[in-house]
Amino acid sequence: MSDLRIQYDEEMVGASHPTKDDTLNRLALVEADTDGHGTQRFLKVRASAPATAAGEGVLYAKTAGGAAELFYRGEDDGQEVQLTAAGLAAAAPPGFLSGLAPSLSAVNQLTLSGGAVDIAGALCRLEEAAAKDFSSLAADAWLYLMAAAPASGVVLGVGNLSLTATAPAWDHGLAGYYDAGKTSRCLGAVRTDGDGDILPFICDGGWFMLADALEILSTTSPATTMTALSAGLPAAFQANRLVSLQGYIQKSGVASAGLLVGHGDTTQSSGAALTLARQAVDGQDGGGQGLYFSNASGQVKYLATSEAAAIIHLRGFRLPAGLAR
Amino acid sequence: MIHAYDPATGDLRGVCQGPSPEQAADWQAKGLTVLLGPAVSRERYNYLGGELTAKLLLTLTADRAVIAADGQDQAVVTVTAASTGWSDPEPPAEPEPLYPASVAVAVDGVGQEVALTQGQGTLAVAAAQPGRLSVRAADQVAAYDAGGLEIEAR
Repeated sequence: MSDLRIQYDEEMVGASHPTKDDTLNRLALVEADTDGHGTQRFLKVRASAPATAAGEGVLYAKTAGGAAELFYRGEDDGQEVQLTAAGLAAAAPPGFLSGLAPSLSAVNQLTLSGGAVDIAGALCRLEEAAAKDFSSLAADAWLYLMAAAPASGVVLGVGNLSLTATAPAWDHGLAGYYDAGKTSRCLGAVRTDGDGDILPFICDGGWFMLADALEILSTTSPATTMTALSAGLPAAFQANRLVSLQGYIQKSGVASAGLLVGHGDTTQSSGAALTLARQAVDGQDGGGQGLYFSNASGQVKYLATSEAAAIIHLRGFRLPAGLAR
Repeated sequence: MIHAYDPATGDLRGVCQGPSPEQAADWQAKGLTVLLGPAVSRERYNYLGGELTAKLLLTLTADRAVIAADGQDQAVVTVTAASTGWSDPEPPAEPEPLYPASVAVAVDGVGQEVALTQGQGTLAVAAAQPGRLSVRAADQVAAYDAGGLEIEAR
């Protein structure tokens, strides 16, 4: 770029001189029109963020991921926010999540669709579907799928994905489920069987459904008054969830028997409960399914109308904000 | 998981996800012994001897599903048993199965002992009256028979 400043050996010439070039306004006209209004703003790449004092912020360009990108820094040397990445917006509302839907593509192999996720203020992207294999997983456990922000840039790779049994926690400021260090964001959870293999599932927008339901109760001695029972949800987001349950009841010697389920905090004996399963013929299994709410402890309440063989399965649950797509 | 078993019979009466203190208290109030245990199928395990134990795995197959209800015609039920602990889907390679010498099988609720050789034996089933005959493990606490089988007498 040429140096447009007026030099010591030039004449000071204003606008509209009949024969000479305007030297006084030459520099300003690069970014402003003749009325003084700006037309554009060029930002040279800086090596680091400018310092800011109280009551001011700064926009600047800096290299990130090998390219010049736009950044903003708030007052008092505040947190840097990267606004662009590889030609796309790099900032989004806190907690933004689009795509990155997991599916089980092979034994212990998760495939995530492409998408974008806000990880601690950086809008990170998975540019195309990616598969990752997992091994040596804990048996009979909920495992949380975590995405760590890349060390540089905002493009996610399979190396940024992990499964952990450590439950993440909701962060109010970041509007997502994060690990203790707030560097990895939870994208979902999967369940393993007794061999440590991930159970087949479907993650459909706001729902997580198990292909093979998880048994949460199997008994020949069911409660006959409303009794709280763990719904078997992942601990991190078990509270106040809409859950899909299926149940069976079987008793010989009686014409009918019922299995009722209600909200985990209901104080009513059975009036607030809905029938999950009902045996209509003596001795023959009665089955059914329904939607219920867990309480803050992740529990529902149930009762059987009489001593019988009863089974309740968790089919799936509604994903909370921060995980639903 | 929370397990609840009958201390008198060793029958595993309940398995549920934890924490479920109300459910545990309900079982305790009924005289069941409540403790924490692994995720297992309630139907396939018991607490005989006070320890979680895989049930005797009993496989029942019949050469015929229908017999004549004349007291003479017979179906031959093959009884295969293994007393080793096992897991789904693959049985463990070690230890070698320890076969019981005999096992009690109930035909329409009437038990009879079936002698086993290398874990296998046979049982003849006949009926003088028409109806459906259930063939089950006689001791449902000790053995798992996956529902057993039925033979129809016509």
